[in-house]
Amino acid sequence: MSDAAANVSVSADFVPTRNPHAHTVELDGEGVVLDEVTNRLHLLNTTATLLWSCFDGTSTLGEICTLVAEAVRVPAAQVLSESSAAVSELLAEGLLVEPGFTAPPRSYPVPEQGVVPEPENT
Amino acid sequence: MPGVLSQAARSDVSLIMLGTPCVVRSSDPEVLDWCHAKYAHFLGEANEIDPPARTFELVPAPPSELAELRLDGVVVRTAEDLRGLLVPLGNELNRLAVAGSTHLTVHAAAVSRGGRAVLLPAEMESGKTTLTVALIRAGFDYVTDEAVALDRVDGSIHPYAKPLFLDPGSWPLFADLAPRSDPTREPEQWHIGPDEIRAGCVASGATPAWIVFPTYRAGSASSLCPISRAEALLEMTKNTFAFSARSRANLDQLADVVRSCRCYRLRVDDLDEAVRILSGLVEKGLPS
Repeated sequence: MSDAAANVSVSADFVPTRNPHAHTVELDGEGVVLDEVTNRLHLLNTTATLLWSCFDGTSTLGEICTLVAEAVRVPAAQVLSESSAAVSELLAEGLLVEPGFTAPPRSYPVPEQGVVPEPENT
Repeated sequence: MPGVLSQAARSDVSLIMLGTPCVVRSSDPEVLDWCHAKYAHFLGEANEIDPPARTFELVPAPPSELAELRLDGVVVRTAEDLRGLLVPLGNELNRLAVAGSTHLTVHAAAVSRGGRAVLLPAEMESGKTTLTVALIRAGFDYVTDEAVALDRVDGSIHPYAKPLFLDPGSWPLFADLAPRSDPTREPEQWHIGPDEIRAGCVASGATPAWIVFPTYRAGSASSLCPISRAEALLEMTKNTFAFSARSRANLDQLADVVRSCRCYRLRVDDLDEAVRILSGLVEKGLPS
């Protein structure tokens, strides 16, 4: 977990809300999330992808973890503990936003240095 | 060697590369012969399609001056003589083709067998071309050594059978492919027409079936490790030309391609071993 993520405290009452600029592609249970504003990409493992799919902006993290715990047959407290860490990281990365967040108009993305390779041998 | 085109009194070679029309113009028949031979799979009537053709002109050096490579009249490279401009011309043609492509274009080499392609995305200087030459010699068909152009609708590969640009470090492995036209002079790269490696090796088209990310580790044991499609997708985005210009659409289209492929990392030190591993991979996956 990053230092920034470690500084974010998340409780069971927190309502995870996806950043409206986050676009998700799922492949075999793993997610790749694109932040369309920054053009940054994030790889989510299967657990994080499952949680991500449940973040509807209305359910609390506690409610989501209870459902997940029943599905995977793991104690709810353990799921909440691990999920809190994941949610903290997603918040720090800007993929989750505070409830009530209003998305600004999307500006045209600035191409990220280093992501766009130049043709070889030039 | 007299130029075969000189007898036809032609002064240009007309090419269409990944949909980009361009004309190479020179008064030197050997330059035109070189283009004609190396770019045989791109010959076409560039002036009959849109957008308007870009024109490269190789201008011979006057006494005590430099020869010039011009693009639409603007000098882009200089050299002591016209022969010194051939490698820069190849690089400029490649740059123009990739920049103008409307395909989903990935920085990768690719070979195919039975119409099913192995994509080899990797960074510059990673040995893509060396591996590609070796795979062609092992019987694979040639798709590209530089840019895999994927159809944005069905994910099929548009052939880009450019000359293979081989760096000096790989020359000892393929000494028989050394340019023969001027043995007294070492170019900075060998630009090898695919048919010089194996006649008829160019694939007419292919569908992605495997994505293999090659990395060379000196002294390491060779290994082919499966990776998840999500991880492969992330790597593919890093190797996609102009990904950020339309990131969401590019991500969705790349995901469609990756879903149809099996994905691996290849760690290898020895070229023959890499070829053996990839040949085995493909033979297992082809219908008997």
